[in-house]
Amino acid sequence: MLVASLVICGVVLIAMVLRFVQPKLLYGLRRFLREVGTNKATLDYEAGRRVANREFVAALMRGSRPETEEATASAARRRANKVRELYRILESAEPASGWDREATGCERMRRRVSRPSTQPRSTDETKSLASG
Amino acid sequence: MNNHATTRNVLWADDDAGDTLQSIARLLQKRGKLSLVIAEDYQQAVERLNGIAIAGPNDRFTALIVDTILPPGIRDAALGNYLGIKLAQLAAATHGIGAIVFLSVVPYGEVAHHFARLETDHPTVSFAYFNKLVLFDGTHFDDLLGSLARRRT
Repeated sequence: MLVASLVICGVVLIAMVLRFVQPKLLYGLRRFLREVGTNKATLDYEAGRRVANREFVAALMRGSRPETEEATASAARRRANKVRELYRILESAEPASGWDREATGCERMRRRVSRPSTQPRSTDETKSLASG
Repeated sequence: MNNHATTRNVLWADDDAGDTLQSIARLLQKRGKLSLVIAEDYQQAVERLNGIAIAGPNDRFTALIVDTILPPGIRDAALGNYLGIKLAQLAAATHGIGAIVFLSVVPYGEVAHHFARLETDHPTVSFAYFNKLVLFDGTHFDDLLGSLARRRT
């Protein structure tokens, strides 16, 4: 028991040291785990398992939390884009109703924008259009 | 005789296509029997489009899969929030792409007016919008493959 505790403490200590000394090693490991997640979701989809989509969304969420690897404008922009994506994933996961919800899950080929102009936009939609 | 119909070269512009979504790329190639070229940012996608424009007719891209939020790929560039829309506009206007499919986490409602404008401006191009969050739900993946082969008349 004591030995096991010591081993666990040692592993945690090494991980913490690595986190600060060589963070890219851990980032690489996280990237690898993300790829494993999407691979598994794809295999599950091919095998016809219903969990495939849930696993895929979970992998997408993990992929949208990038680490600050370098302090450059392009890295900051890349990170900001990822956060924008994460925001939309989380927003889609929240319960919504009406047209917005339908649009979130909408996968309609050549879908026409046929919403009557009299139908008001939701607050969220108006906000995102204004920011876009 | 008509090689154009059997050889489908597809450009996929998505910053995750080369790593996190690599397995999706493999599945697209396997199920869709298409030749997939990946671009990880806007600049790279434009270069790929321009590079293939001078190639023979059988090498040209017949379809484009594009993420709505795309990194610019140019240092200090401020090209807009929805570079995927901008790329789709460019591909439809100047590269003769027959089908443009958006694959993104951005809800359709957020870009509906951009999408409508694309359809109006390019009546011969087939546009479709798919949400990544339901890609493996129901028949969406197969629908996506189907829309890559579609062309408006």
